[in-house]
Amino acid sequence: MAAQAPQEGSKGGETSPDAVDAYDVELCAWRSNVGVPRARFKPGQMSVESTALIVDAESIRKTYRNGSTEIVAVEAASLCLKAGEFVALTGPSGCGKSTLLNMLACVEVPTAGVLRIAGRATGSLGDDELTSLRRTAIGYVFQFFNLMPMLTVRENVALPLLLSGWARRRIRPAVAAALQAVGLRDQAEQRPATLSGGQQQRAAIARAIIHSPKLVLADEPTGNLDTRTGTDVLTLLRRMQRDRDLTVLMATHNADAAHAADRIIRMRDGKIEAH
Amino acid sequence: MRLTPPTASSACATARSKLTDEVSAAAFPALFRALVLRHVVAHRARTLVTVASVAIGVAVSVAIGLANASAIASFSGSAAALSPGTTVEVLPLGVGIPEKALRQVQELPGVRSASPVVAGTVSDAAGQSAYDLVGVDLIGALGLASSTAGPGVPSSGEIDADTRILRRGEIVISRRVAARLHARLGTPLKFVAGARAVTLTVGAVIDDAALPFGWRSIIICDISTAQEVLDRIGLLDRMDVVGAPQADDQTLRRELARVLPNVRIAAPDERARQLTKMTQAFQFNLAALAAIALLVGAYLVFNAVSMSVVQRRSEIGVARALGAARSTVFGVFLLEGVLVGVVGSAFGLVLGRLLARKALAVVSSTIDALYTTDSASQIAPTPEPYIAAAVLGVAFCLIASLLPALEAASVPPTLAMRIGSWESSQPLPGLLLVMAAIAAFGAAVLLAQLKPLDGRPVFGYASAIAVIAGCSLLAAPLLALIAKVARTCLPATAGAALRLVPANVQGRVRRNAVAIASLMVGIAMTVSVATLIASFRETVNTWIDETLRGDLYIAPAGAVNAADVTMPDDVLSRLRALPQVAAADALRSRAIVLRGRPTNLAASDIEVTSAFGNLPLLGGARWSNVSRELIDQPAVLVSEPFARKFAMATGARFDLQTPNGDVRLRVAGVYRDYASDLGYILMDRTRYIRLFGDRRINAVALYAKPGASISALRAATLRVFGHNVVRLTANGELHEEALAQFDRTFAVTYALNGIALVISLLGIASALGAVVIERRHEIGVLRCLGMTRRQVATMIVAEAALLGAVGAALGLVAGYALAVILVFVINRQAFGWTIAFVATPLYDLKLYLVAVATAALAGALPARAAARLPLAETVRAE
Repeated sequence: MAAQAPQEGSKGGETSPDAVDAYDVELCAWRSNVGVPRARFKPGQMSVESTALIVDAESIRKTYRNGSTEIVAVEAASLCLKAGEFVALTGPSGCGKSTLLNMLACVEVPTAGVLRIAGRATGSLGDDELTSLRRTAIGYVFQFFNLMPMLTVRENVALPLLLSGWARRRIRPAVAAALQAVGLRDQAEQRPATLSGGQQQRAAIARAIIHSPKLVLADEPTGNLDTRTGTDVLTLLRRMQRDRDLTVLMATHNADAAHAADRIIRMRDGKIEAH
Repeated sequence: MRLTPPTASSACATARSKLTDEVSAAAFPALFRALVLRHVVAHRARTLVTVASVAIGVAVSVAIGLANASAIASFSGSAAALSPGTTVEVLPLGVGIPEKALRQVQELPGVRSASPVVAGTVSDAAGQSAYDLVGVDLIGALGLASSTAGPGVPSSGEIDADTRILRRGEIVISRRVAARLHARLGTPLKFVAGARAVTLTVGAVIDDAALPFGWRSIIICDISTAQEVLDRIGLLDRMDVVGAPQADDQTLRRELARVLPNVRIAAPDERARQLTKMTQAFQFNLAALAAIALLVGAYLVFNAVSMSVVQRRSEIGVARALGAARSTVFGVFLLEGVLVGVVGSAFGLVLGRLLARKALAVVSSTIDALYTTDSASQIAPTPEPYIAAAVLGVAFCLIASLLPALEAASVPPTLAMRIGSWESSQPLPGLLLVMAAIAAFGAAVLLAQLKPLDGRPVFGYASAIAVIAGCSLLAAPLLALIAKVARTCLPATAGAALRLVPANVQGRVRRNAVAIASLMVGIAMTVSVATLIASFRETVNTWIDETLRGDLYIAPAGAVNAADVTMPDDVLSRLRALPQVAAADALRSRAIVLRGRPTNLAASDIEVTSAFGNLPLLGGARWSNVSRELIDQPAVLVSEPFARKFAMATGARFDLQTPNGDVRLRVAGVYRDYASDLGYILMDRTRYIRLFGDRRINAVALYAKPGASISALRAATLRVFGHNVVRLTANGELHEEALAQFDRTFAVTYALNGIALVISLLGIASALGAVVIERRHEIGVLRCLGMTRRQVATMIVAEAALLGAVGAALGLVAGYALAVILVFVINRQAFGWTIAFVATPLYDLKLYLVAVATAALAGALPARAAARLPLAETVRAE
């Protein structure tokens, strides 16, 4: 497990929350297709070009306490993901993949180490700032889809934009385009429970990418699907990543899925074994 | 064709099912522990709220049941015959039974003994508390008591233990009364009896336990003392006759009727039965209100068990997949409801016993005010109210858990193992629910048309329950509709948190419908009872305004509440002679029995009443016509409750027993009256005196001359009577007193109503808390997608407020429907009154806002908790 080289252009996480929003919008060429204003870039702030590393983790560690026993879930993991990379994270069950993914998704806070997501050090961020980061810079694809059962597919896909405060008239074309992209245009008004597993995961992918996040984290996205559907979903995810120049980290057990990635990171017993 | 043995496959299936049953039966305790007990312990707060709500419902039922039973026990006790083995009681029709009749009765061959009784009411010197004074033939009674043990007057030994045989002017009191009057042996006590001051000396103090149940608050004295104090010289109020062993009841009655033609002969328990009957409508209504508190509690049990099923769905799935039979799963969840019922009832019984004294005080004061002075001050040691409340408590819980238990048993294992998808994937049978609701409303309308059962508005209450059932059935489709409309109509400016609210509500429409149904019941109850009381109060207020025309009312000092305290009428001429007085109306009113039912006979100077008073006549009758008929012919007016209960309209004729034989009277008109639900027969006082020979009066209404000073009139009146023996009440004071009495009477109703409302608010709080727990995972996912803590909190509080708003709105509608049933069906059947419907929009609006605010507040707490849920943990729940 090698320590990563210092990141180019990193400002040590000193950027303001606005900076993320600004270059987030700037980065997203896809949004221009659906009529999103291109730039709110503020001079003097960090630009996309200067942040080639989307994920920069230095010796991050996660431990849990079970009574008096300390359980180490992730041990001094260091990794970098460059913009536009598609990386697979493999390893046996319980090796810490999901915990690592959760830390990168800002769902869990590392016990130790330094983590920068899209150039921002997460250690000093409060809950609101972490939430803002999740909302704008991160997309998450769950193994069990986690679509809201009471919302239609269209509403589920629109959620990240709704949470970001987009106006309804802007959300509608964006969702339509995303659903078109994942092939679910005809199922837009259906409830998740009426869809097949593959269709639900497509909807989940649409939801994860609709806001053009810097980073898409996928936790066993094919784990709950049959081989053929899994392959389809993987192909879709790969296509989306290429089309939109996304950075994807996908945790998977599936060797075939892993080999579709640009790079594989292996984990065992909470440690990163190889890149 | 050869028949193949049908047993091959079916036997296999039977064996498999048998095996499953056996496995399930053995697994029942383990399943119960896993699916219910752990869950119940894990959600302690909600379990506590549910158990507490059942406990409160049961407690209220026990308390009211005990208070009612104690009141009845007290009637029976105080009305118990003096001598053990009394066969019949001889009661006067007029002013009293002449004393000399006692000897005639005692000499009858079929009579073993006859004991005289003189009874009346005295008040303490301050005129605040009334006591029943009972005069008995102590010498005779002692002779009897020495030969026969059992209830009745204390035996000679008990009296002798403290003192000696009573002298004239001496009384026997219980230790309880002695303590209340601060009296000891030999203490002279001042009383007021019939507008006269009397002094009685304590001649004996007896242990309460030595007296029968209802006798512990009365004053006992020798018959001659009672006759003197109560102005009954030479008269008896009752004779308790014990038949000879060989004489049969009918022969004895015939013999008595032969020697005493102008008396009423009654069974010894008749008075107790009459008193019980008098108060039955009042008591039945209290019991019904108490049961409603329990009904609201049952909604909470339904809610709790439903929630338990929802949260355990994956575990149920696993259990079913591993071979647990549907019946086992059903049984496990049914047992949860029953256990809540058992534990809640156990606490409720204890709490109910503690509350019973308070309830009895309230019930007794109402009964005192409206019906009799005989009501209880002690809780009767009777098990029935406990058993009834406990059975009701457990039964309600069992019924409440039936549906959720069925739901648990019917969820297929495959679906059960998925989280959150079950309810959302099940279409709501909206049309079916609406149809069922319409059917329930139809049933309510039909039930409201039915006549009461034995004077009890049973079908009226059934109609009310049908309305509640209909509105409960409407809750889910209505909520779904509102959520659907809100989903499309929400303004574009609404934030993400608010935009998700209708979807969330719609997604869990059944669960939410249960929560709002319990709130609906509480609000409906409160609104309907408030409307009934407001309608009643306004009607009574108007009626008092119309009818109370006298300037000053005079009553003997002891005439508190319903006691029959009288004064001689010789004061009338002196009052009429006062320079300030334009007219004086002498009023007499006493309880009688007509056709075996208790009612009241009243008399006034009709000429004065028609000229100065204003009794509102129904059906367009005119006083000018009616008053002539009342004075000249054997005719009477009857009050509205009388007309309704005895089914008599203007023109009807009936026979009234008098000391001079039966007299046929014609109903000349019906008047509106709210003084007694037992009804009144009103006749001219001259006719009353002629028929009954009773010149006593209960009160005098003085009408002042124009311009006369009321204070001067008051001073002049006091000079006629002397101080402290009469109570003078000016018009305005009497009006206020009447309304204050009204409010006291309905205090218990308000209290019961308040309890139902609190339980329902607790219900919505607990339901919302449970919904948040149920949605942990979903909230976690939303937080992952970037929803802030503030947005989570806003969303949950807004949902709670929306549920509160819909539940309370439904409650208002149901409340008005119930109010219509209460005012026009239940009240009319129970009491016989016509009440104008008066809505209370301001009160209802306040109640609505309180309900919505409470719901929002109830949502705020779990919202805070939800916003702080550890994210990774909730997401990991998958």
